[in-house]
Amino acid sequence: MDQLGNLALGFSILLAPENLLAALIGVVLGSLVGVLPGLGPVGAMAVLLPVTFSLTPTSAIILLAGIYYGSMYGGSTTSILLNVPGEATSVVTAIDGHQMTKQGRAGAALAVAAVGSLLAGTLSTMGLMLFAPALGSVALNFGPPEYLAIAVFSLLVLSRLSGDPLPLALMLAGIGLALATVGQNVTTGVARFTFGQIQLAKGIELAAVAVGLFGIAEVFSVAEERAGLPSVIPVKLRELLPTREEWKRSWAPMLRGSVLGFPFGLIPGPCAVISTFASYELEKRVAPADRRAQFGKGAIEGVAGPEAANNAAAGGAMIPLLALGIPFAAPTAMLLGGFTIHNITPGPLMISQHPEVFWALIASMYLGNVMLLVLNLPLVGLFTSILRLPKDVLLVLILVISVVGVYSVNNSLFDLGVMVAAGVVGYLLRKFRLNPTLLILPLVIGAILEQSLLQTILLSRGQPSYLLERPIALVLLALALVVVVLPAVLSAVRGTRAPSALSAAGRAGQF
Amino acid sequence: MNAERGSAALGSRWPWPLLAPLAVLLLGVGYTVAALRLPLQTALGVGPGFLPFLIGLFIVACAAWALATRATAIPPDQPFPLGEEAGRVPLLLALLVAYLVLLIPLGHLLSGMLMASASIWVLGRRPWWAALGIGVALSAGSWALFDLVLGLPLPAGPLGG
Repeated sequence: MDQLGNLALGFSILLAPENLLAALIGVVLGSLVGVLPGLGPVGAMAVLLPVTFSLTPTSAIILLAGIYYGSMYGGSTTSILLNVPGEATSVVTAIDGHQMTKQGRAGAALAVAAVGSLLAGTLSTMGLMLFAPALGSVALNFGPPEYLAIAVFSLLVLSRLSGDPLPLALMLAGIGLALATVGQNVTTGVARFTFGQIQLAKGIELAAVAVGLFGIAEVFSVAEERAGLPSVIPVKLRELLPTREEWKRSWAPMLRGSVLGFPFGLIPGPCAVISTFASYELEKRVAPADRRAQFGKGAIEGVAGPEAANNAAAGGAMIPLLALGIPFAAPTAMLLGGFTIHNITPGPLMISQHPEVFWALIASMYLGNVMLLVLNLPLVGLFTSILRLPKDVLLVLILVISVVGVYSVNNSLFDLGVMVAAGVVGYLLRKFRLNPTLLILPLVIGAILEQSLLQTILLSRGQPSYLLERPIALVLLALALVVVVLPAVLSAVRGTRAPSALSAAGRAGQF
Repeated sequence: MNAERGSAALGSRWPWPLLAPLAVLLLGVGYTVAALRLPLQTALGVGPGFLPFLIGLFIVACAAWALATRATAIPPDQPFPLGEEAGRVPLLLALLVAYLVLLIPLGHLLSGMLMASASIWVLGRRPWWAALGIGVALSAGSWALFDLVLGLPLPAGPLGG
C-alpha cells in the first residue's frame, strides 16, 4: 500500500506542466531516434545531456528516460515498414514484421508491436516499482566488497555477452577502464595520464565519448555507403487494426515476452537485444506445429513477443541503476550521467533522499508508455516522414547537433576533439565488428570499481580471506566466473564453437 | 579492388583483423609503463598507480591472448570492408577538425555554416548554392535552438552577441 501512496505522489509531481512536457518531448525524441537508423538512444541522450542543465532534476531524468524507452517503440517502425531496424533491439522484429508488410498487414504489425510495447512497458514499470526499492533496501547492507564484486561481475558478463570473441571483448573493457583512470585521482589528488592538459583533470567527458562512438561513427559508416534510405510505404490509419485472429495470436506472446524480457534487464550488457532473440526462439518453440512454419514468413507472434521483450528489458535495466547506482547498459550509463549532472547519486539512498525524482520517474514511465501508443500509431506517417529527408541532410543534421551538444556540456573545444577521436575509434570498431558498448560501460563503472577496490583492500588489510566473510560478493564473483568460463567448457566438450546470438545483429552498437 | 589485393596479400601472413589487438598491445604496454611512473603505494596504502598498473597488465594480457589465438570478430579472409564512397569519411573528418579549429575565431554561425555546407556538398553532390543554403539553415537553426531557446551560449565570433 505504501507503493500506491508513493506512486500517487509521483503522479502528483508528474502533473506539473514542465514534467509532463519533459515526458512528452522525451518519448517523441525517443521515437524519432528509434526511427532513424544511426544515432540511437545512447547518442541522443548524450547530446541532450547539456540541454537538461536548464531543467529541474526531475524533468531532466524524465526526459532522458523517455528517450530510452521511446526508442524501443520507434525502432520497430522502420523494422516493420522498411526491413531496416532502427535499433539493434528491433532486428528480430524485422524478420516477420517486414514479411507482414509485404502481405499488406503492416498496420497490424505496427499495432501489435505498439500494444505489446505498452503492455510490456507497463508490466516492467510495475516490476521496477516493486523490486527497485526492495533491492535498494538490501543494498543498504552492501559494502565495498559487494560493490567491487558487482562491478567485476558486470564487466565480465558484459564481455561474455557482447557477441565479440572473449579476448577482444575483455581487451576493449580494459581500455574502457583505462580511460576511466584519466584525470585527477579522487583519493590522492594526483593527476593521472593528463599529459599536462588541464582539461583532462576532470577526466574524459562521457558525453563526448558516447556521441563520438555512437553518433559520429554511425555518420561515417552511413556516409561511405552509396545507397540511400529505402522509400517508406505509407500506412493508412484504418489499416492499423489487426483482425480478431491476429489479436488472439498476439496476446500470449506479448505476456510471455513481458515476463521473459524483464529479468534480462538485470543482466549486464546488451540485455534488451538478447531478450528479443530469446523471445523469438521461445515463440517458435511454443507455437503449434502449423504456425511454426510461418515464422520467418509473417508470423505475428514473431513481432508481438520480441517487441514486448525489448520494452520489458528496458524497464528491468533501470533496476541496477536506481537500486545499486551501477548501470548495466549503455543507455542507463547515460542516465547516470544525467543524475550526476544534477548532483543526484542513484543507489540505495536515492529512493529515500530523492523520492520525488524516483516516484515521478516511475509515474512518467506509466504515462510515457501510453503516450507512445497514442502517438506512434496514428502518427506513424509523421515519424517515418523524417526518413524522407535526403540522406545527406539527415547525416549533416546529426553532425551539427552532435558538435553543438557536446560543446555545450563544458564549453570545451577539448571535448569536441575527444568526440572526433571517439568517432574515428567507433568507425574502426565497426570495421573490426567490435562492440562499442564495451568501451562506454567500463568508462562509467571504472570509478566505482576503483573506489570499492581501494576500500576493500583497506578493510581487508590485504588479506584475501576477507572475501570469505562476504558471501554475496563471493557468489557474484563465482557467477561471473561461471558465465565467462562455462561456454568455453561446453564448446570444448562438444567440440564446436559456440555461436553468438548477437552476431546477426550486425553490431550496430545501439544497445 | 586494391584493398582486396592488399588484404589478400596481408592475410596470408597476417590477417588484417589482428591489427586491432596488435595496436592495443602496444598501447597497453605504453599505458603500463606510464602507470609505473605513478606511485603504486603510499604511506596511507594503495597508491594512484596501483589500479592503472593492474589494468595495463590486463590489457596487455588480453591483447596477447587475442593475438596468440588469432581471435577476430570478422573472418580473416574477408577484405577490409570499405564502402563504395569510402573517400567521404576522411573528408568529413577533416571538416569536423576544421570546425573545431575555426569555432572560436569565427563563432558557431560561420564555422557551422562552413562545416555543414561543405559536408552537404561532399555527401550530396548538390550545386554549391544549394549546399550553402542548407548549411546556413542548419547552422542558424542549431544556434537558435541551443543559444536562444535553451540558453546554452555558443561562441559568437566576429558576428558578436
